[in-house]
Amino acid sequence: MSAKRYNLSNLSALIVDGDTHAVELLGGMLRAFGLQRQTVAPTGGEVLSRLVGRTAFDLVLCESELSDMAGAELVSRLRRQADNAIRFAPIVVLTGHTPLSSVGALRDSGAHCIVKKPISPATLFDRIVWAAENTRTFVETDSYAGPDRRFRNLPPADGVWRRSTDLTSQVGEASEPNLSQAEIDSFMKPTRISLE
Amino acid sequence: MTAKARLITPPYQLQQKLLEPGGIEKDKAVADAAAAVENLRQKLSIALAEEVARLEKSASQDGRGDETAVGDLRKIARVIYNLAGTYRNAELQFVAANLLDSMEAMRDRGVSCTAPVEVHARAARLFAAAGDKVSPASTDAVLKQLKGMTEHLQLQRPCSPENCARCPAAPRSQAPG
Repeated sequence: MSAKRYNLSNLSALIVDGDTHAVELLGGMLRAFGLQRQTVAPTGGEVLSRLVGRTAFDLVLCESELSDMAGAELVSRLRRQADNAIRFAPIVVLTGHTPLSSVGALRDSGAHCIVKKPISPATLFDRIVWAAENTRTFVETDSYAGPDRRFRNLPPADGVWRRSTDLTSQVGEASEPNLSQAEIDSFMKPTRISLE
Repeated sequence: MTAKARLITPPYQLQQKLLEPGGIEKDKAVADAAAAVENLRQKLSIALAEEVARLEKSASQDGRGDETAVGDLRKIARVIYNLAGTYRNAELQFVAANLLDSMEAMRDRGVSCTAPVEVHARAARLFAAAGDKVSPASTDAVLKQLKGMTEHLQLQRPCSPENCARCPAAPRSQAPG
């Protein structure tokens, strides 16, 4: 049986990173995957002022520390764009520095997943496929807009399940949050889903 | 009182497009991407050496304590961390990561001593230019010293003459004895 194929040639990606070397590496990897349509913005301000509402993107790859704003702020503002498809686009945040507080802030800003730099091609490919295949309900409240964050193996604080999508017995063992990619993933992803 | 939450099932274009006919198998895609990264090795090795030189220059300039200069140093350290990690220079990657940790500790504790940055910049030059010529024992010793310095900074109280005298990051001329 042949392996599953993924067609990235019709995708349009937005890369937000002020580091030209990182953009070169990332762009090269994406082109090798077949993703040719790439738009690069060095700052969050440029994304918000020049690109939002004018160009449609299937995928956003964003550095966590931009020169003019934190990646978490940009993600949060993209998630609040009314009447604009970009607010639902999968956002992969790339970060070289992963203290737990940063990972938590990025998750709470509405990012789909976080990838630790330096990025390996396999990790990048897996995260794109994962973001595509694992569709998540979006939640909008006064304090949060983005994909449903309730991934951890914890019951609601008051013990009352409210949504049909709440994870119960299907969820595996909880793991402690940490700084490696695997541990970031366990912090961000449903534990019932495996990338391999 | 209950908070209002709106649940939306968005259109998932990414999923639909990814599953269109054609495309590429994961193994082939990853191999092609690894080759693309390798093709950039020479160009980015030069860039890495330039970034290390920039780090040294920035670390030795006046006005290092101001916010812009610290921001620049952090940016350079992140670039070095990323490039060194991509091309598997583990020692240089460690130095860059440790520098970022040190700077974070210094910011959190209000420590304004600049010696830790200079020491990291020198270590970065060593591992960027001649890392393969440094013996494993010397490499271990340098990295341990840097790690110890960061751990000290993470426990450090704000700079003062008495704290500075006990600080392993202080330049020799400022240390007692």
